Amino acid sequence: MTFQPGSPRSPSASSTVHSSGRRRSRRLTALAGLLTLAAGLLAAAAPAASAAAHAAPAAKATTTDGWIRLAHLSPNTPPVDVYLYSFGDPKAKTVLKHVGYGDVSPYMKVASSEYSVAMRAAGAKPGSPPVLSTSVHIAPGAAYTVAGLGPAKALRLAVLHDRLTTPKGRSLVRVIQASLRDHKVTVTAGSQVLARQLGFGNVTSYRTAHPGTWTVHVAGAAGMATAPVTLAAGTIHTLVVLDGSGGSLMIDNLQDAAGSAIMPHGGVATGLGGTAPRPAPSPAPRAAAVAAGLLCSTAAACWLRRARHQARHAR
Amino acid sequence: MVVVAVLVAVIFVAGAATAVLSGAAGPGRQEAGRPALAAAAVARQRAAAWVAGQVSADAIVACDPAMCAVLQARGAPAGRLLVLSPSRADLLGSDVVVATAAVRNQFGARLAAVYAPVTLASFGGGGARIDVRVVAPDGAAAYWAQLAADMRDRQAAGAMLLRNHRIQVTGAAAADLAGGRVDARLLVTLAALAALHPVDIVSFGGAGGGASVWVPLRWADIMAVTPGGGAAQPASLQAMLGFFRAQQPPYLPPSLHTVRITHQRTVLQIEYRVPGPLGLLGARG
Repeated sequence: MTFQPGSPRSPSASSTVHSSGRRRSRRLTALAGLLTLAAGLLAAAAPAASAAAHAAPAAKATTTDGWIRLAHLSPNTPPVDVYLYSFGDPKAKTVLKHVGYGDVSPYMKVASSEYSVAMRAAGAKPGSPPVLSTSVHIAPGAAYTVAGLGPAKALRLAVLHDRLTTPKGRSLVRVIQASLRDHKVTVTAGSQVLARQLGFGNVTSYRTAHPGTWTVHVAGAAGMATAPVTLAAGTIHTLVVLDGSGGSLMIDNLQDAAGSAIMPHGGVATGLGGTAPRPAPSPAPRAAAVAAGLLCSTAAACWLRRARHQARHAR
Repeated sequence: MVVVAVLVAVIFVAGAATAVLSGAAGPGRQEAGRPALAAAAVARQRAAAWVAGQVSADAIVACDPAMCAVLQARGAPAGRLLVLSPSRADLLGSDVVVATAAVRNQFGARLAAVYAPVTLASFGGGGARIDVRVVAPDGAAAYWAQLAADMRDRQAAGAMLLRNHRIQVTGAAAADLAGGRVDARLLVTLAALAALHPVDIVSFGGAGGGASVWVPLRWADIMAVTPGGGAAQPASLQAMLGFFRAQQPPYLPPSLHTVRITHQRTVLQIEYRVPGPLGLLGARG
């Protein structure tokens, strides 16, 4: 006798079943129900497992990696290559190459660790002795700028912690003074003073700013510069004061990050576009699969329960 | 001006002698004082020799006039010495203080509790004892906090170096790395060196006699090894030597020597001076 899962059975019909046949049919019913239940649960669990496996690389990227970039801000220093040597993994060597004064490399993703930071002349053999400059601790999810600051004779690599988030609806701005021509400069944005008599090689902390287009003015003893700077809400900027041509000053507007997420998404302008994790696929197919699996399991459980109930009454 | 300086020196020497002799009393006091004075003079000479060889060449050393005179005789330029006097009981601007009995009497308990909390090395005993101490520019509390943070960073960095497969390390040296006892300058240079040449760390050392347990170990004996772990060619040792010579302060070791310890084993001895900078590791911008 084969039960029709889900079909109504009358008490009289069940009373015609023999004792041994009842036991057998109960076992079959239980087995069929369990198989259906297991299939349903598997169907529900599979998308979840798949989701976990898919999310793993993204989670890894956000929890164990940081970002670093190089800024060459030493006016009379020839190009250098910057090497990062991991304390724990000698293979995890990172090289930041640049072109010249005023250049900023894109962000590179690096594993979270302690690193020795060293310099070589641009194009020097990687086996030649580097000159150590500092060490840096790359924290997970954090971004840093290694800035070559100071005159060539006393070039130092300063590690600047780059902010990636802003207060809601605001922008963040900081200033790096990298002009050797004017040793001290005052930087204003509209009527607000961003930096007063900022010495060569120094960096201000970030300041919160209202979004909008600001007229940024830099003035030193010998030169000055003015430039419009547009600050969108959620963006983070570093304004670099550089030596310009003909004895003037120059303002370079670096956009550190855009968006208020910890891992900013965005294009090249954010500097993190190439390293930002890809967006997760749509959750709709997984949700449908999970719902179908749960529905299947529920139906099987109901059917199993009713079969047991009928069998109990049939004794 | 010269007369005043001489008078100050005389007063300090007299004070030091009084402090040294304070234990002697009764008949024969002068006789008993002679060995004590001799012991004080010996301690001064030993302390001066240690300062000349172990304290950073650009560190400003605070000392009493008698001690400063001995340091100058050992070649310390006057510009590096901050002479303490009754009218100048201020360690501001100095990096290290040579704490003789006269200096201890001048500052009392505040010397260790406020101005110079950590002992780098100690010479002599009793009233003749001389401590070389690190000056805490922002006070003892701030210094202890910086030192504790520095030690945590050194522990974390040491643990990473222990995982570095291009670094071989013996039991005692491994314990020094894990315990955060190794100077940050050594940790930073060894991490970069290992990326270029596999290294065998034979030992760490460098704490002076009587030094506080908090003082990091600032010298290392290392050997060049092949990537497979065998003894490397002498050229590898020369390459390592070239690596260290290419550095700039604070990573340039003032002392670099190669020493043959057995027929086939030569070590490179790297030594940094005191006081080591705090906060070199863990730079977070």
